[in-house]
Amino acid sequence: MDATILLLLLQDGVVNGAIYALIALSLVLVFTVTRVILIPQGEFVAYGALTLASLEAGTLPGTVPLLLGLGGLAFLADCAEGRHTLDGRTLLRLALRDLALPALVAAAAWILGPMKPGLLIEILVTLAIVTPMGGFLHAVAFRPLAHASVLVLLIASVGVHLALTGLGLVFFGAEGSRTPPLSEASFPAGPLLISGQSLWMIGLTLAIIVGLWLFFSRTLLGKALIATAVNRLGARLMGIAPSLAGRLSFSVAAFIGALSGVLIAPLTTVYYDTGFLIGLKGFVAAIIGGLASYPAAAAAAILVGIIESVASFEASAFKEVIVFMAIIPVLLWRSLRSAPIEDEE
Amino acid sequence: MTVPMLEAEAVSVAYGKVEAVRGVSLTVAPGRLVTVLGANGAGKTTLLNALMGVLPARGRIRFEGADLTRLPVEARVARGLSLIPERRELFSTMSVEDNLKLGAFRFRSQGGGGDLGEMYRLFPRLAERRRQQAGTLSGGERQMLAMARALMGRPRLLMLDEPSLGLAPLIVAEVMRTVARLRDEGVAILLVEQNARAALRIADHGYVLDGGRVVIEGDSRTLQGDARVIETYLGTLAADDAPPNRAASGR
Repeated sequence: MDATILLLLLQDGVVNGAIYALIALSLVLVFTVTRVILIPQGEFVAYGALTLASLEAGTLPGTVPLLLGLGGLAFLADCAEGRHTLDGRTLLRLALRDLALPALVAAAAWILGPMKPGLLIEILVTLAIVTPMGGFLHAVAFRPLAHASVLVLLIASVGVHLALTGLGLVFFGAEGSRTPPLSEASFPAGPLLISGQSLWMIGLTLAIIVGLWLFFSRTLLGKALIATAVNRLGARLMGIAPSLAGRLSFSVAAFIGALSGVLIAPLTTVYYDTGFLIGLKGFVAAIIGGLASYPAAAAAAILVGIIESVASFEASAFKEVIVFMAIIPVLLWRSLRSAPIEDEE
Repeated sequence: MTVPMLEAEAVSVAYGKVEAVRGVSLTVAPGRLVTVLGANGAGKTTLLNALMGVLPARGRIRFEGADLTRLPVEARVARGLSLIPERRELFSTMSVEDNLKLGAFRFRSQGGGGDLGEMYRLFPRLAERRRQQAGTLSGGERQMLAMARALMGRPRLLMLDEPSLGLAPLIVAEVMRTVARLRDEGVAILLVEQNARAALRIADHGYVLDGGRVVIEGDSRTLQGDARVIETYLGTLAADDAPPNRAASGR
């Protein structure tokens, strides 16, 4: 391996690492706020990529009926949850959020889809379809378990992942898709050729990181999420409902997942089950960050991306093995360094 | 007597088979300061947690005429109940100022929460520490922050669980003065204390809990003169009941 190849591999690793960083950040967010290890994060990525691909092809994405169905289920779950305080106004608010909003998005997809409105509009529609699914999934599958242990939540999370993968197969079929790049431009830089696509990926990742930082440090809602992560009871006593914090963090995770899907769709053929492996690599990074630190998780994600690209060059048959083995020394180091933490509650 | 603000009727709370609170009824009238006294393990904290909805309870809890019994904590906060728990439950890694801002979370969409400047006037120490992490504060400062954070939510009824716990006598006096002043400003207060002397000095009315039941009830003057209260909670206080590290603040 000479210097040029190493540079190429580094470039590749950083670009892939940017996607893993986005996923790792949303895993840390969801875990600190709700104690859920969000295995289905990868499905949001696949849904984002596949939804964009089918809009690109001028067909109605399979995620549209899924969104309407999930919204309906979430409406029922919300009504059951709030049965002691349900009045006309609350009911109207729930109906707007769980039924009217998905219907509006579905209508937009139905009208805009065949018109082939161009990549930007298609990406916005994709984000609008996938983002609300996060909140709906939280209401349907996780809120009823809010008091369960981390292990029970993890098992539920695996269940949701399996269900979403299956639904992905039903709605999108077994064949994969790929979308055109966000930008055809490319810029020579020494021996490297930097594509517009990879600049978009890194730029949007940085924008999301800055956006998250502003959200957490400048807005009351962002601070409420951190407060819930720091002290759940304290947050409840301030009137910050765990269900609000959970729904919000799941929605942010779905948004970031869908955006990641949009970003990787031009690089690789995405199948209904592609998301899982991408999600796992983000998870490796999140674990290296202790499922608690955002900067550590983001840095680890870049490292995971680089390890992966070097491994796929040197020993491509073992590329996944090498990436996932990287977690072992980290876990050893972490467990030697810190006293075992008992599961709360 | 005026219409009660908070009305608890035969409230019971059980941890598994152990009943920590057994059929307690109490009322708090608007603008009054009511104290609940009792030794360690008498069920005081459990009672407050049940009133706030942190623990599920049997019986009936009404606040300003509305039945709260099945509402979650957040819905009770939205109606103007507030609890400062024994462990304060601050957001330890966040700044003092962020803790205060989150105190007004229930007003986020309509405005009308407490005013930061007002809190800093009321607790000047917090103004000096506004950028500091809440976890780095001293015990007294934490209690101040917990009170200021609760006041940012403009509670109609403030419930305090052992605000004197672990504080030096001078700070206890300051905390009690602040509680009394809040009552004078019209906030109804339910004060749970083991420090019976300090609590009765500022309270209008009191209940004594023992083994999860109300054993004595009356206005604070009567309680201060009640032979059983004097013997158990005022006279020999701290000698037998309180753990040694609390003796200083109990006297």
